[in-house]
Amino acid sequence: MNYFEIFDLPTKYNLDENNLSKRYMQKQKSLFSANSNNISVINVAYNVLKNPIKRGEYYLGLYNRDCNKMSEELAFQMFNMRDEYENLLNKKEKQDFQIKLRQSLDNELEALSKLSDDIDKFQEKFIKIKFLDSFLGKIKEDVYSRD
Amino acid sequence: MFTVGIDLGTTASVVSYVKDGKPQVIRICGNTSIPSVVNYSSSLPIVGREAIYKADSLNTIFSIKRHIGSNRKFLNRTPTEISADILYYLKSKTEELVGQNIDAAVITVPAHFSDIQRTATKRAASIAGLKVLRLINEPTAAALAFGIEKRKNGMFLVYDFGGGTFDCSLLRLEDGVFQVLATGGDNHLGGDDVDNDILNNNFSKNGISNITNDEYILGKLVAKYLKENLKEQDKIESEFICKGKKYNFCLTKQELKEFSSKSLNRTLDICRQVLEDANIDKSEINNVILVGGMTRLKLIKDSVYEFLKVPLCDDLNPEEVVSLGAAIQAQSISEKNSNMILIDVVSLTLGIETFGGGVDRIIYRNTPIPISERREYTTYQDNQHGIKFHVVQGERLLADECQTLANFELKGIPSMPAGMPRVIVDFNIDINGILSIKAFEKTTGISQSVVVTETPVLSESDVFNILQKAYEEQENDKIKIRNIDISIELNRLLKFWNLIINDIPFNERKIVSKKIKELNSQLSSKNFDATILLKSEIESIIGKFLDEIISCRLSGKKLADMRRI
Repeated sequence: MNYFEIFDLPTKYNLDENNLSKRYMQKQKSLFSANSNNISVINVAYNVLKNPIKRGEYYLGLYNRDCNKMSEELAFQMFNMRDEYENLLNKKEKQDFQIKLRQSLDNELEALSKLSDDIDKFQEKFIKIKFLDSFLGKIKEDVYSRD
Repeated sequence: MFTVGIDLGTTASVVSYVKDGKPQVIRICGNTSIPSVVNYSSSLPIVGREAIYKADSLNTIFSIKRHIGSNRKFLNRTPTEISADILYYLKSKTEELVGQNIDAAVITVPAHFSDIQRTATKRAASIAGLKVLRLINEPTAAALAFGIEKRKNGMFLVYDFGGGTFDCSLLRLEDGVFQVLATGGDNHLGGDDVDNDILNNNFSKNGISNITNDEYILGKLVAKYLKENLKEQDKIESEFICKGKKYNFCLTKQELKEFSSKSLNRTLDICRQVLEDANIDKSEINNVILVGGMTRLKLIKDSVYEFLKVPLCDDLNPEEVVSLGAAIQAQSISEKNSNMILIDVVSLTLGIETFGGGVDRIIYRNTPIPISERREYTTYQDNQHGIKFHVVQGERLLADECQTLANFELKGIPSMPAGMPRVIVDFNIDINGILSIKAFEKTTGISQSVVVTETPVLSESDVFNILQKAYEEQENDKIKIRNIDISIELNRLLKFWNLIINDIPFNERKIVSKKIKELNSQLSSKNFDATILLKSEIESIIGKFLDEIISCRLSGKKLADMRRI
């Protein structure tokens, strides 16, 4: 049984998070009196599915697809972006950069949800999203540590 | 089945049970809250108010919860044993009053208790002869009691400021499921610190610099009294006599504000972090539940309201609400009643030390429990027969600066080339927040289970220093990590340069060898800034020949040979 099936959901990347959360709570209730091993599986599955990045990795994994291979073009884009960030001087500029990056990540996620029928395109888009997300994480750490 | 909920607090403990469907607090010797104080002057331990009235500082132990899980001994007893004495007292008094034996208990712990502290608490209960139904987090218990009482769905923030610890949790209650969304806290932040400030300030006003133990114990009670009773007036005073000497203590509004402000700001920072972790805006919170003795202070209430702008619920007794919640949970578990279930989370990130001293984060904080995660590791040298694992808990970037939970080695891996063995490690955090680890090698089936035991000895000042550092040195962590990265990078480069150095023309080679030697010595004396400079100098010399060297290598010749031709 894959993680989607655990919650009686179709094995598709796109899902309604409120629906997932409802089903998670129902499962929790029905398993409350059962043993804790099963609850653990549900928690693991929920944890993966509720997060768009972890969900994407898992989804591609189901198709035996890699999500770490950067194309040359993407590598170049990421390099430029990092360069741009490192040249920013003050906190304000960095925060603006962070907001801009957050927005473009959201846009890409929106675009990703329309690609779920084409696994090749989905994979390509997702890899980009994954790197944007991890870059955003690093920036967040950087901006906050300078408080 | 007779079950109870026990709030085993730093300064005071409370027991509750559910009677005719309603949770209620048990009054032991007429009081709902029992000081967590033990006196060992006679053959049997004396617990609670009686222990304080003994005024026998040499044989009395206060605030033992601050030390639970450590190997330190107090009057020849471990913190676990002392906590067990408190629990035994609570158990026997309750059984006497209710006229029934306790079958099982839910015991609460600060959300921020580490695995080691949880295990120690559980063991204390078993020494006291209590069967632990579950350990639950204090703020979660408080929210549970509140949710049941008010019967309403919504988003709750629990602000739990007690004698020794601070916790903040964000929970959502929806159709009988209580889900913890995020939690944060500090195990060494509490009203105790404010009491100490008041005490020290007054002793210095009385011209006393060396405080004796007896003065300390009485003075502290007075300080606490002043703090709790300063209401609308600007100043409060009290006198006490210790060993025939008279002391005059006072506290002004301004002083209280000053002494509390550092702790208060830190609690608000933690709230901010929790909201961010859960990705929830202040405006989405429906209620703030105040827990712990410190929240009785008007100053604290006002500041929390000022910060969150959400109605505060303080109509439940902040010192009893945790134990009431524990009693509700005890009954719900023992009756397998799924009308109200609780989903709690891991409060500290769990990880493994990586090559170079960083942390590979395996289970992130705020993940729902129980949870298990699997990781696969391998060897990095040929014929390596064992792999060592250093398991840590905490939010710091470097393994050395997190708390060590376990050090273990999986031995007996047969001779194989590097990277061939497949070592699977399973991490499992149970519903009590307690960790177990299993490691096994896939091809041979060798396995090992790890039990996490008590922490290395830490004195109180050690603990304080570690915490101070955690906040001050986040920046330093980054520098250290950078330095580790630099040395890994340099070691790689040095190998590479060694490989190609003979391909460089004689004059340049002489300069480069000299610089490499210097770099080696700077590296071993950890002058990282100097190494960076040297590295770039070497690179700029070698760089001129690099393309040439590589293209010759690719065609299978050495550059030096080419030049000779």
